[in-house]
Amino acid sequence: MTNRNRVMLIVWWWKYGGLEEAWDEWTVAGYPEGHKLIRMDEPRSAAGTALIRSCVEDHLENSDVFIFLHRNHGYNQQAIEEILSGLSDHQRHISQLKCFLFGEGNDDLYIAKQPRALLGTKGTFRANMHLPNHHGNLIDAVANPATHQLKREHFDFVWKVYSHAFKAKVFELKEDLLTAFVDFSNMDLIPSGELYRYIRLPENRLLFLRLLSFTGRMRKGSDLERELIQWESREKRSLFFDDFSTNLKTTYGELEGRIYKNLVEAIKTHIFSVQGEADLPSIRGQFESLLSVMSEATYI
Amino acid sequence: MREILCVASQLQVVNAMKKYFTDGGFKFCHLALPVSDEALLVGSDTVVVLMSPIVCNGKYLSAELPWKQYLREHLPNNLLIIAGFSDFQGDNYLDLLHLPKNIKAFLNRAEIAGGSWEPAYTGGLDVAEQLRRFFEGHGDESVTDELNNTLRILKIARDEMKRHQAEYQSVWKDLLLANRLPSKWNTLNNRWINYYPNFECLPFFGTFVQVNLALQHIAPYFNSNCEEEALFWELDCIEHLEHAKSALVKIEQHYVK
Amino acid sequence: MSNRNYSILIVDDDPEFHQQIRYAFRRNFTFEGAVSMGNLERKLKENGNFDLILMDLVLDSSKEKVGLNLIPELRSSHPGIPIIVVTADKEIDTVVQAMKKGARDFLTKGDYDFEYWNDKFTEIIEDSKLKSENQMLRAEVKKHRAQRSKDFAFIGESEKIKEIKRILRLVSEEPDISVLLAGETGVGKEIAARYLHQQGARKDQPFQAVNLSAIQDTLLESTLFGHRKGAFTGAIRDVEGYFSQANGGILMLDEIGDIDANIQIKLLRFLETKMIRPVGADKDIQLDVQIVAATHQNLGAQVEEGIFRADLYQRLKAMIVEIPALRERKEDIPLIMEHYLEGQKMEDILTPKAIQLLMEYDWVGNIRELRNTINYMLLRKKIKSRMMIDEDCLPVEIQEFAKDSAPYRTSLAEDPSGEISIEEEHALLDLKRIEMAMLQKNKVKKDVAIELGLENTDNLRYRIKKYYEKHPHLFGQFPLLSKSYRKIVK
Repeated sequence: MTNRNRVMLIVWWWKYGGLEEAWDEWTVAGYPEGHKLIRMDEPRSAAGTALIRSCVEDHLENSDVFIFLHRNHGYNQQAIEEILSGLSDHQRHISQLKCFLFGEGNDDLYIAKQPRALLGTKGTFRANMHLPNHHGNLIDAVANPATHQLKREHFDFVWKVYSHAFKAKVFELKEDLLTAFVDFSNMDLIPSGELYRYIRLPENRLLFLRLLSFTGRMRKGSDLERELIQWESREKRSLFFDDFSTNLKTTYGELEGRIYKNLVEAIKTHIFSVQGEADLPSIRGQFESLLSVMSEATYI
Repeated sequence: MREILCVASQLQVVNAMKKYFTDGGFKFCHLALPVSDEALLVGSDTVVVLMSPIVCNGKYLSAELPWKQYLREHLPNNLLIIAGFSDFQGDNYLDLLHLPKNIKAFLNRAEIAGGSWEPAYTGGLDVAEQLRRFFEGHGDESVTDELNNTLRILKIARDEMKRHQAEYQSVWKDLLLANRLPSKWNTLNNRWINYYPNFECLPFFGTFVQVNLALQHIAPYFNSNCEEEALFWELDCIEHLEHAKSALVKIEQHYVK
Repeated sequence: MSNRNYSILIVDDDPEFHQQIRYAFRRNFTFEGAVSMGNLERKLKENGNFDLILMDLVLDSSKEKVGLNLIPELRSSHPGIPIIVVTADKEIDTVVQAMKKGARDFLTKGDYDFEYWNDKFTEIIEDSKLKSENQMLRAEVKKHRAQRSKDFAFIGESEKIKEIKRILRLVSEEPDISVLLAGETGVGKEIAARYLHQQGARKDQPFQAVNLSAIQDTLLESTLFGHRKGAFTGAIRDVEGYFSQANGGILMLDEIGDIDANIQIKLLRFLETKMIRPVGADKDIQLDVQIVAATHQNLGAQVEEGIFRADLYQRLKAMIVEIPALRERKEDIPLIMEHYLEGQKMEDILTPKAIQLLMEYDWVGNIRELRNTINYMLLRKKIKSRMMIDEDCLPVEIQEFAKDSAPYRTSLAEDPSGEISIEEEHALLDLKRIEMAMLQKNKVKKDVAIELGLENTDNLRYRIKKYYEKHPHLFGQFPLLSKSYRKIVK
């Protein structure tokens, strides 16, 4: 773990939980004051974007920063681009800066998904933890309102999960993809269009949608996007890559961005194209290159 | 005919390997998750092929280290082959994108499980590390400490009632609640629930199943906030917890320490 | 049984463990708890009287076993409090380290068992208490031995004594040889025997001295060889005799000339076979005891008279050491006196006249008489409030001796027979000693017996009886003694 401070900025329904200012800050029990969670409840707008960027800029010199943007507040891949592109190269690379999109309750931010996460019922840190003696009652599972402090194990858990979230998603996509195509693995020659026809089969639908998201071919507001949202709900996990690609191109670095672009090209060429020969080892090679340059561990 | 015991959960992979090995003249058996002890009662010429990472309860897990350790102890002369989509080269690694044309030659080159080779890490959630964290805790007390704490409190309670004819109500108030026994159980049980599913891919999962049965058996007592004296006696809480502890200590000694 | 008086200090950073242990053992022990190091020091300062420290090795969040370093500190600052280490695990290395550093035992938190823990606490506490009592006793014994070695120091720089010491050192190199010490009463035969004991291979083994003439004949066998329960009326349990008590060491048999034929045979048998048989026993016992016999009598003459067995005498006389009378080595008197005066020089405490009288006196009772005389002089000096011991402080016989008219000599000289046997002279001196002790001990017979080294009043009574049977005419000089034993002295 880095010695730098860790700051999480979460844009969510905090006003339902009593947030009256534009934002407020919660420190973490047992850590120096520089470790904090900033609550903000701003819908996507130019002013909202500026406020988030300004807030992030204030912390980048001394802290690693994770930004969590709620999709239902209107945030999307483009919003991430707006926020991150407004920062200088120095600001983007001086620290670990990641920007995530979340929503619909299936992310590892939610206590309902992960008991050691942060977000409780709408706008609060409170949740029913299913503990003995608390039958049906909401308890302050995450924070102590009296001291304005978060419990450190919850803060640490979310930070750790999201530190590795991008890489784990890429790794799982690679494994799922190669598993799906395992029948082709020993063919000396995969006929043109064969992989595309195969990925379009109903049993491979989710993989197809994830590949579209990964390669940036899923339009905002499209039926495909709605379909993937439904899959997220069904699978109870984060499946979109819209935040990932922007982060990779902006905050990870040029090399990472270039390798990602090569991988996207390889997928388009070998899988989405109906012409030419498909080469699975080549796709695997590109995946492994990308995974090797992402410095974090795949899993915690 | 030489047998292949394939430990995998990804059906496409299982089917591909089945075709590959049966075409190569091997008898093929699939060992699905959760792993059962009986399935590992195999002859010395059985080749264990472990898919890694293996999908276990929706997660990609790398279990090659505990498997190697288990086989080294129980089936040291058998072959353990790690199969996967990583771009590795190694005598005991089967690259599913480059399956060898000559299986027999490949298996002849492979080292036995009792050999000193180290399996390469295939990138999934490391089950050896999961085992370590489960037993040692991360900043918390170890599982053994938690079990010992709980057991000690229960034994003191039993002695109070049996030796000194104390009333359960007073023991409950002055000992069990004063020492937060329900909360201790909750901590223990949460850790169990968190890790238990990750161990389904382990060759000694049967032991965890036994522990799980013991814990589930006594759970009603703790879920009653330890208030029901009848459950204390009827469920034989101490004996079941002792059983769970001794089983876990054995695993810890073999695979963690 | 409740041990609630025992107090246990728990040193552990886990307050719940304190609570559990207090609760479980509250009926049997009292508890104090200390969490931090500072707290521990304070608790020990406030109340150092804990009977046991129960200590975890991990005492803070560092998870380091800092308790290991505390053990030697506690052992040094509170050596009387045993430490039991309570560990979370059974790591052998840790346990060995803890034990090496001074922990008495260890318990594993995971192996809680009321009975075992309860017994362990009690056992360690009681064992520790026993050990500290033993240490105190050992210190007492050491002190006592030092006193005894002072009492039994073989003092003398005269050529005769130097020669005897040389012989005894040579003899001490032969731990199986029997020795016969001869010499007048009071010359220091027991002191010589103890010197032999201290020089040789048996010095760390027991030394037992027994005056055979002071023990009733009927009890002698049992006293020497022991008896089994039921061997005779009153034998209510097995009792070890002097031989068994001296096993491995030296047994000094004083006044060996006084033992009857039966004991002589048994003693001879022992010297030949190293076996004894306690009274009432059906089996022999093999012992390793060196015999030092002593007598003031002429054993050769007794053999001729048929009183003493020739074969036993032959055995004993293999190594005869003759201890000279004090009058034959008067140059040692200043040294001996200095010894009994606890380092004070004779000339610093006695007037020249008194010294002269003492040096001229013939010391028939030898060193024993000299020692009694010293005590007498010191007492008289105190009573008479003198700065120094002058001739007035000396016993009458010494004062009279100078005038060559000692009363008892006169009385002996007036004896109708006109002769005084050594035996009679010995009896007279001994009776004088008893009479003086009677005076000093206010006629308490038990104290007199102890003062005279006779162990019990039976032996004292027996001795007086024997003297009266042989020398009734002597008793007129000893009114106190005669009155106290009027059933004997008629």
